[in-house]
Amino acid sequence: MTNRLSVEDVSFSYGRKEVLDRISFTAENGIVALLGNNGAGKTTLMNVLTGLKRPQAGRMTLNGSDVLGANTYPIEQVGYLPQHFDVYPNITGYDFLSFVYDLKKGTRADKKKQIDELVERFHLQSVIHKNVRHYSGGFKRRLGIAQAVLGYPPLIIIDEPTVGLDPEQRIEFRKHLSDMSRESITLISTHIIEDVELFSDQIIVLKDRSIVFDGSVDEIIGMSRSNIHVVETTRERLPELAERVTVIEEKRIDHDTIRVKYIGGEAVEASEFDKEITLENAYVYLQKR
Amino acid sequence: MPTILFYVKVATKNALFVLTMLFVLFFTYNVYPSLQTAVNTFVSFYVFSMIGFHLFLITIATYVMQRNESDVLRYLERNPVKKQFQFLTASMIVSLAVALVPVTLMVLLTNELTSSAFLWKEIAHFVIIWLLSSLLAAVIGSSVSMLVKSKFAYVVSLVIYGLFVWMSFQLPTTPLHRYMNPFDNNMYLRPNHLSGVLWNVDYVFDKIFLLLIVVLLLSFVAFSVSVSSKGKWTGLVTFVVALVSLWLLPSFSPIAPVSSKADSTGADHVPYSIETYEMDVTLTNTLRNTATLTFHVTEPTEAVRLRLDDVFSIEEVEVNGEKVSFTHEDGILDLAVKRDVGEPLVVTVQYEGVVELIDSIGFSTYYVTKRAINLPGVYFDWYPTVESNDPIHFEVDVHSSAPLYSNLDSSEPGHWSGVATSVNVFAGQYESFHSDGVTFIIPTSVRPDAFIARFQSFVDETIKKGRFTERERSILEEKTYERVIVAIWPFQANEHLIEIVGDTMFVYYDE
Repeated sequence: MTNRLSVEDVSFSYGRKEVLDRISFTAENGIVALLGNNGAGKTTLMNVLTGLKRPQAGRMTLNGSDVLGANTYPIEQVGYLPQHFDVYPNITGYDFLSFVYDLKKGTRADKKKQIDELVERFHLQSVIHKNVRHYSGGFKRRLGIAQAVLGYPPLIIIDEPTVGLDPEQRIEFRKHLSDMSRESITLISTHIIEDVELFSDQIIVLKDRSIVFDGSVDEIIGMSRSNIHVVETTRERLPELAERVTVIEEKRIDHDTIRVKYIGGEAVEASEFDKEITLENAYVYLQKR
Repeated sequence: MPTILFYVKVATKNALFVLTMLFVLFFTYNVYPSLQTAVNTFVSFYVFSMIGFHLFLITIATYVMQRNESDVLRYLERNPVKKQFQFLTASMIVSLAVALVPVTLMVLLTNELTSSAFLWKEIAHFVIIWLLSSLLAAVIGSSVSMLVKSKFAYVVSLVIYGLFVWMSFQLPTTPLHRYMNPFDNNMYLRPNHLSGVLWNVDYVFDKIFLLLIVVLLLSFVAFSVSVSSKGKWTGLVTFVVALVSLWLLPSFSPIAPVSSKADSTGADHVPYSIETYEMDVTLTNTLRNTATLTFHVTEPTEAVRLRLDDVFSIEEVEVNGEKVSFTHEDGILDLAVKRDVGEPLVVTVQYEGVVELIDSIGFSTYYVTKRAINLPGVYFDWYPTVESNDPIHFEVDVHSSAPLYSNLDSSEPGHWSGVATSVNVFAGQYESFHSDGVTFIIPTSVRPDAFIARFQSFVDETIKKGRFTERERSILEEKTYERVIVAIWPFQANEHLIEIVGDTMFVYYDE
């Protein structure tokens, strides 16, 4: 089944300080990456879309149903994993998943089967019957994903999923991301591009309270390609170059050679190198232009 | 229900609950011997165990409600009012489970003289106190933590709860004092610890008061945290209704304080005396009496004044078979009746009333129930009488389902007669035994050997204090009393703890 999310003109302010300005986008099944620097409004947008904050204006519909305007926010339709996943420490992971399942009003007949499936899928077997206080950061994150996916909701919202994880745990998370059901819309907000680069179907970039890009990975890269240049320079000459252009990537080739990607400024020597533009390059271009 | 069971796990799967249970068990072990006296004695000693358990409930309630600082829990448990109700239900389940410890001991170890019917009533009474006071503690903890979103909530909760604890250790001199004590309701009848009344109107008021406090707190929270206007209005209206009800309830308390025995009927000397006295008394949960007094008029009079407590409502008064008008206030029944010397004067008074009177410090004193009765006529005007020490001939028909004891002699079942200065009636779980030619009638919760030992010592002390009349001293020293009955009266009425009426001695004794 194809699910459809529509966010229309969502605005939010803290008092007089405007944080979100008429945010609008649509999404269907797949992974939607919401990118933006710290303070861009990603977490606020997540809070609004999960009903934890009430917007001053705007609407969110999921498969045609108004989510934000409902009497009771449909948590069975929207799974949520916040940046800080903190639950009752003296409860086992199984008890917590059982609790979440009941809150999402799942049927009793399917409860054990669903929970066992998720325990296996996210490799929680060794800890699921232990108290959550004994979980490592990685296991906590997996438990968090499992509770968000529980009930197989059409929309899953994940806020900064890899903050605080070590590189190995981040790689593991990306693997779980790819395992997530293709039958739901997974909206992930992050400022760590490499976490979503491989698997994102849609990229939304947030800057200065608004969306500055909404499209595919290929589109954002294509859009930025002609504006990103590559040159090699030395370590000694790098500072001088940086004064003339906006450097967006530095990559060490050998002891004294650095390949630099830059935007804007006075053109330097013509690039003779393949412009391997990454998503991160394109994202930085959007942020800095 | 599953989410409620989840909160039960959250509440109990921690070290604090284990420590609390150890404290409850320790305290139960220390006070269980009091079950040999009576269950209500055990319950009165058990208050510290209740307080310990309540401190646990307040702490865990504050902790659980403040977990909504966590984003995922705030998302999942997004209706704080609903969460509070679910947690309170979980608290009641935990409370009921913990109550099994003392209840089991009550069933196994209580005074074997307790009737099984009364035992289960007392267990029900304890469970009601336990659950209601636990609910109050959990509501205080959870409500405060929803309003005070910091660790300071623990302090505020404890201060509010502490107010109730403090009130429970004050003497219950007013209905408000009694109602504010969540650990007891002073419904037990001294000295009938094994047959005290449990469920009467004031008992219900006592419980309603605590429930209103619970409703008050919950509605205030609902008003404060609800985002919908409907929720806010519901909370506000409920809060106002609860507040007004709380303010009004104590003034409707049906329990009356003992009025001091009415001052003299207004004359140093009354121009009439009672020759004979007939009564037809029915004692159930009310006292209903038709009293017929035959007077001897010694001087011309234009009024007859009799003493009868204000707790009674007089239905009609007849003089020589004809209805007359009367006034009854401040314990005096006033009849405008003209009589000359020697003219016949027969007064019949028909009246009824609920006798549940407490003394100045809030403890039961005079009472009439189906199972327990304390009517010391020497102190309490429960029948129309005059101020006189002259003995009267009494003929009393009495109807009661409880075995009765009196200073009068029972010539046949349900009938007493004799010459005495007053009629005193008692009932409850009494037992009768003989010692040195004297019949002792004492409550079954009192140990006979302990009573005899104490009785002899304070008779001796009382004689030494020398505050008796010559006749009374003679009776005490020569032990010419034939009967000793345990009774209760206001302490200030007679600090000697002994009262002699004819050949009967009444002893104030309360364990």
